[in-house]
Amino acid sequence: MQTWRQISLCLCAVALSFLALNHPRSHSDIVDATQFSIAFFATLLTGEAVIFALAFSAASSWPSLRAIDSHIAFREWVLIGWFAALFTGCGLLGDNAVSATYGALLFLLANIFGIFSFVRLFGLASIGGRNRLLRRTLAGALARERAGSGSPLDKAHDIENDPTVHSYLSAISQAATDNDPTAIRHLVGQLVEAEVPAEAADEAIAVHLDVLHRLLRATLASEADPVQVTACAHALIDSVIRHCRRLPNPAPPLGTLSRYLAWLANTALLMSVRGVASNRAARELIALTTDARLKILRCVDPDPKSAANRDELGTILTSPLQVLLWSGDFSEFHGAHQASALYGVYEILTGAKFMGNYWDGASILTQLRQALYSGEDAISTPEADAARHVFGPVAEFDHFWTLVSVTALATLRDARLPHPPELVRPEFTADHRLLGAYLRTFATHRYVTTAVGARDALLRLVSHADLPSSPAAEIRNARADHAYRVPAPLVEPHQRPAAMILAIACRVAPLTSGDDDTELRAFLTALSDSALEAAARLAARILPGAAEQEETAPVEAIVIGLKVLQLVGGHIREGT
Amino acid sequence: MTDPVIDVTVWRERLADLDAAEVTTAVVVQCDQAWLRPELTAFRNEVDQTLMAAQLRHGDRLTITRIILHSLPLTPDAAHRPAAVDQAFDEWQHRLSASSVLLCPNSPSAPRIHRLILRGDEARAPLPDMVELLKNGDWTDARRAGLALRSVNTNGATTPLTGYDTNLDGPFGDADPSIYM
Repeated sequence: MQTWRQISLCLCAVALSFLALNHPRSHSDIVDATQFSIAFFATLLTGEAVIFALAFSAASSWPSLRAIDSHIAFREWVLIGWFAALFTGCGLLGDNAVSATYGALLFLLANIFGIFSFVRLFGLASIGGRNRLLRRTLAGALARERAGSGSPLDKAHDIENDPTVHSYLSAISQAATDNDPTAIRHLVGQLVEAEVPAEAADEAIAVHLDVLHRLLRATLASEADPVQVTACAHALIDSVIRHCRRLPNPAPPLGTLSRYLAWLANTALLMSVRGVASNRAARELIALTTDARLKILRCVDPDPKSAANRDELGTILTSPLQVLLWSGDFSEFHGAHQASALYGVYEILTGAKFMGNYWDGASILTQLRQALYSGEDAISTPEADAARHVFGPVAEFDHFWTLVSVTALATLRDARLPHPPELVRPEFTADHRLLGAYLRTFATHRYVTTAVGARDALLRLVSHADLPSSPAAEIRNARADHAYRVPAPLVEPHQRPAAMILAIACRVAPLTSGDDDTELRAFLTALSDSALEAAARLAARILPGAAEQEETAPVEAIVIGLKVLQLVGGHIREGT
Repeated sequence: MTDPVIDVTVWRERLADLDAAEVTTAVVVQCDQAWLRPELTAFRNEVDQTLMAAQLRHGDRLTITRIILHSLPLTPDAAHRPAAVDQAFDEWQHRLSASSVLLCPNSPSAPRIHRLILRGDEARAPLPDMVELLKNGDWTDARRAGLALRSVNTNGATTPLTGYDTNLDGPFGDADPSIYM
């Protein structure tokens, strides 16, 4: 647009030069015409200055004056005026009629162009017009960044270094620090409504996540208005999901967002309990995270319990590897709805719907294992074949889900901390039965039944490096192509040995109160003292009732802690 | 599976013999960088698990001495080494020490893992890779086993992998996620 404008301007200037050469005017004609033209030129210039002064604020002109200038063609306009004055002045002084006539004609061209510039500037005087321009500028910057992006590892760094994105993020931070809800709303609106091309969707998501974190951090740490911020956060999350739908592999950003929200809920609870953040802010953010995770779950589940719109019918994830990546991320940091998420995982991996109820004792992972690996009885749908291809042998299936449970267990909330009633939300409670239900999804995946088998499983878990073709390695490769700037770094399961012990221990722990715990005790007592103490420390943190026994009897602490598994299941229904 | 550096068949045969009653001592050297190649990950896992499982089964009756590198060579060629190789090496050492710390209740029966220290100009270990067994008092290859055991007994040639600095609890952020804020 700008280039075409400049070309047409040059053509007009050349055409006028021919006119001046062929029809030079007298001295008095030129002076008279120029007086009128300059008067109008000055009027327009003053008018633009007044509009600028009245209509613009720091928040609405974030990309710098350059973007506004290129929109209203201010520089071209002033440049023509300068040329006009130069030719006129030189022509009159040097008594050159052609030069003076050309200058007078250029003044006319400047006035015509000035009206165009004035009209464009008027378009920006309204907030809607300014937002439209800023949306376009931001979309252009993201598309440009995509075209020039280098290695994925540098991507997050590069995006932030882009002058336009940098100005935008600075404006967001400033608005959040100033607690200016209008500015925040406009800035977020500019990002979520920017028409970013599909190939730059990943860059757009990276900026969305960055903005989301800046706003939510400001709410917790700088007391930005939580109601306004959560409204903006919902818009940002919806926009991320929209962009995810345009990506060939939406799992990494969707997993990152799910994981970030779970982390945020825990952090909000902790900061509120410690008195660092207000309980009002924590409450709003926790409500946001549980609602947003449910929204993500509805996008992933091929057959969700409810759907808010047509987009939520069917699944956003199309391959087994994508759903495995996402489900690992979704179950970190004690994330809400993590047990329900396995229904969708089952359906995507097998092509059939899981008909059980985990509150009633059904085990999704065990049934998934049977569906994929029970020989003659195994499901033979294309989805199941694809899932088997990704997992490989059944041992890799077991290993993968045990690794997922290691990460899930290690990042569970501290059961010793109080959970204020104002921070209780559905799927975000201190209810031991909910924790028991989450844990049972992994504990009922019982590929080991004896203490010796459990010890062998632990040995394999600790010493088995991921094979290049394993799902865990493939997931790592898929993640390497994306670099989103969110807190809480990804930690490999082998960095969490205590959680590895509990991940195996829960698989031999009694699931009902009458069951024998001999195998669990035998497995634990065969471990080294330091390992047992570390596992007891973790149990004391994440399992209710374990803290009392942690110092004196580590085995007892773990056994008591794992009784949380007995709080849910079919036997509870029978009892009632 | 065959490999130009590591004869997988021989290794498997020797490792299977660890369960034999007449085998009381084993010396295992894995100092070649070929062990860190992605295509050998499965076999490296197999060796680690077999040795640890044998140690757990037989306890004090079996003495296993393992030698691995302390660190990868830092010759000028090392600059071209892919970062994945260094990563795999660190992860391997971490897994070896973690499995010893977790699974061996009393330290005397844990596999003795020694880390061979390379001089600055050494591009490879002076020891060949091996798995040698002491059967009924006779080494499968006395010369090679002697070479390995001499390295272990030479002061300053190796340093034990103790696992004293293995963090069993995991990162601090697990217990307090707010530190990432």
